[in-house]
Amino acid sequence: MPVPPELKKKLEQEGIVGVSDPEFGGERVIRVYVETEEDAKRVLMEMPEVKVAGVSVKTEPIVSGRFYALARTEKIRPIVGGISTGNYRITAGTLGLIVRDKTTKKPLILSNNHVLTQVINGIEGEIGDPILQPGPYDGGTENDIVAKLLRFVTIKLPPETNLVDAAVAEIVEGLDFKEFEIMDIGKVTGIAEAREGERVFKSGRTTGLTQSTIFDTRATIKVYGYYSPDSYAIFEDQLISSTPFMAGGDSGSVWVNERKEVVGLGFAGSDRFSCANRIQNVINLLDIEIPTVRVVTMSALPLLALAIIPNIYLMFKKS
Amino acid sequence: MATILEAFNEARRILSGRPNVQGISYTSDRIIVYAISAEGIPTSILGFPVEIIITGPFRIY
Repeated sequence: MPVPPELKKKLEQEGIVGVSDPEFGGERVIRVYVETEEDAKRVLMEMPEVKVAGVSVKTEPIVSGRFYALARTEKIRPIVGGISTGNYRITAGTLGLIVRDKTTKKPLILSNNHVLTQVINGIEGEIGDPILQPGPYDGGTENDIVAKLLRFVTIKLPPETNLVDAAVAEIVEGLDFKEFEIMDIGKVTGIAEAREGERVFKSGRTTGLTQSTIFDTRATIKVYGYYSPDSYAIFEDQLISSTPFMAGGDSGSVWVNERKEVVGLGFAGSDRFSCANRIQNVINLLDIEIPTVRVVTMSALPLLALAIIPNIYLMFKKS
Repeated sequence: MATILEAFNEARRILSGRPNVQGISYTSDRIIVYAISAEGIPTSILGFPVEIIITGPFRIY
């Protein structure tokens, strides 16, 4: 949603580099991105609230530093969800999210099989294949290896069916990364089942941050383009969005709901819809984890205090 | 009266060979068929109405 003109005017003030009226649910706040801590203090002192269309809304200063143009198709470090990536033999797709191996707890890149392997031209990748950021189509070379292919779910052709188009790659030693974070969305808070009619967001290499709503949560669909452009694979238990909010190169981006819970792994679409694998199927088949982040709300603080204070009292009593 | 799951499985069986059908799904009270055209798709299956949604083929992005 475009920011109202009265908010845009705030950008003329020194130290303020961005304003936003986010729509992620909860209490409405105006985010004010500032260059320094001093700027953040000034915002809190001078404008704890701003008027938007005649309504007073609290401000939330965020120290971001200055913004510089950062294309998702460029080399980006630390690596983060929502940017270009791909097997060294493909064009480019999207790095969905950095997740954890359920057993080893190592950080892994999550994306589609057809992004991290090379299923399009008749062969699947091999374990250990180099994964580039950016993807080869965006100029990624052997100097841009960020991970090695670790696991993937083979795409089966009819009469067999599939649940996911998914793979993970192990991040190379020493590379800087942002775990569980997506460009323009931030940290995810866990996973959830998608519900019909709920709003979902994705952040992808080609179309950036876009949104739609869930139209269908249990579709069985034919998807073309595996092994050859005209052959198809059948996918069961799929999510369908009400609009085509992804495009070529967005494959691998994850769908999150308004609470920033991951609900799907985007991979395909038509002229009317986009499609995603249910995230629970992806997690089960790839043996990965996306931990739940407990958000403590102001209303929960009194309860938290009630839970902690007796323990502190007992601690002092013992000593 | 059949259940919606029985109707869905029947829809899978009778529509699997049709090239215009791109996908199927169901709600509590109807079968949903994603198709390039409505040609050859029945209006009801085992007593449940069929909603046809016209769409182009699904392709990997």
